Amino acid sequence: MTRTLLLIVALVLVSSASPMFAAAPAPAAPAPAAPAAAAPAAPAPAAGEKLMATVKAVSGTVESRTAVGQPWAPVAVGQQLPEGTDLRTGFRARCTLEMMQSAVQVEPLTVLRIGELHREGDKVKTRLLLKQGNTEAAVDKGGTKNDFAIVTPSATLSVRGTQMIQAGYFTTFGGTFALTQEGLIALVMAYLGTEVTLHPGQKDNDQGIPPWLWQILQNLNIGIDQQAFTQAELLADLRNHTFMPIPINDPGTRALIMGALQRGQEGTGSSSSHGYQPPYTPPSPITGG
Amino acid sequence: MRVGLLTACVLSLVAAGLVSAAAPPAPAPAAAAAAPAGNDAQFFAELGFKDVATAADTARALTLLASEGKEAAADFETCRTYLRSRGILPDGWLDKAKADDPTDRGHLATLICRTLGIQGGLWMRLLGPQPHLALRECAYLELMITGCDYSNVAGGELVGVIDRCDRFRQKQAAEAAAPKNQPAPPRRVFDAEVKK
Repeated sequence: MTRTLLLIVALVLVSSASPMFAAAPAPAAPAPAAPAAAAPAAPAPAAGEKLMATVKAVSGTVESRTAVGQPWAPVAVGQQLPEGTDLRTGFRARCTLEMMQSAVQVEPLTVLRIGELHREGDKVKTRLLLKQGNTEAAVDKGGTKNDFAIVTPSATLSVRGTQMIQAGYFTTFGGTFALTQEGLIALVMAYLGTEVTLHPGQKDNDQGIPPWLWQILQNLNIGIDQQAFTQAELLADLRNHTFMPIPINDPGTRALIMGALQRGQEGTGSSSSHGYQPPYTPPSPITGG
Repeated sequence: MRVGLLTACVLSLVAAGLVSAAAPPAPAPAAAAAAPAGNDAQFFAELGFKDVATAADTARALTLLASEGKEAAADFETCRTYLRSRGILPDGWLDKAKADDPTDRGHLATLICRTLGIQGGLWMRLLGPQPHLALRECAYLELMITGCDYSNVAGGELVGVIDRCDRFRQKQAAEAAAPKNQPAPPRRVFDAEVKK
């Protein structure tokens, strides 16, 4: 009996800890499986009309770039930002964007990408990919239909008719989400696929699970949306959330690592880097015979 | 057989990361950013994806926090000089650390308490902001998360700590400035340019 119990405990822990065995209904697959999808250089072509976000207010250091590899440039009031644009804010810096029927305030210390912003049929589709930091958004459901969502590494917050929402995410701290005024929002956890509905005045984080399970999940690869991240950032995330060495024999992972190493650090227009070193030197190809 | 089962359980626990908290902190990777460059937006954006926050990163982030964004120095020594002038570094870890040394949670909590003037409870007032006590106090104030005080701080965690500390300080300042027995002002929703 004891033996059986111990075996069950061991199997459950191993299956929970391993991304390969995790029964994860996460919306986004972990990085190694699809190196081609990880190429973030060009946003996915939209089916409908492309829309622009207009910068309405700027305070402090706010920079943007139109694509990975492009230099960062300061953001000015009135500037038009297409989908695929990355934004980053400095200390006590803020930026307000207006996108059709919604307005978004990017809070300090935030890195965000306008993942999608286009018209699909009779609705406007907006996806904000929040890598880190905080945002507030006011979404108007009147008039044109608005399919608005904020995607963080740990959860996706989709709007179902609301006025004012808050979303934030930082490494180790996890995500925090709140609905401050009227409306309704749905929160889908990336780890477990569970959905939580927030009503006015409610707030939630992505840790509404038992502490022991949270401890395990902290060590897993998070199901990040790959289009928001560069390969270098994906690698950093892999090392942050993985307790096992990256399986070098996996062809997808190998291609991802090799691509990142060849590409080097993300072009930032300066000599500084992300500050981490590759975990190992990839073996040289076997030649001769 | 029993030994094998126990070994399997221990290995699975290790694999699950449940005992990782008891392990000594991993050595920091050889950080290339001894003197981080660029503006504050670039600094924090790149810091968010670092495995470990180095002493240079911590010094620059704390300099921005202590000066409320006014001191934009990026050099490690300049940041330490500024923090020393503010009385944040007396006999502290950061005063003696090298630029590439990894930051641990306890010492970061100590520096946060000194920067924000957090006095803590009875033991912290008696013994000063020791790493263990300072970390517990910062966790109580929701500035940091709990954990062992000797584990390394990830870059993204440091960005989150700085964000929470700045919000905490602004909230404290607003509460101190508000007249007593008055209802709290309505929360600022948006900038005036958008929502009037």
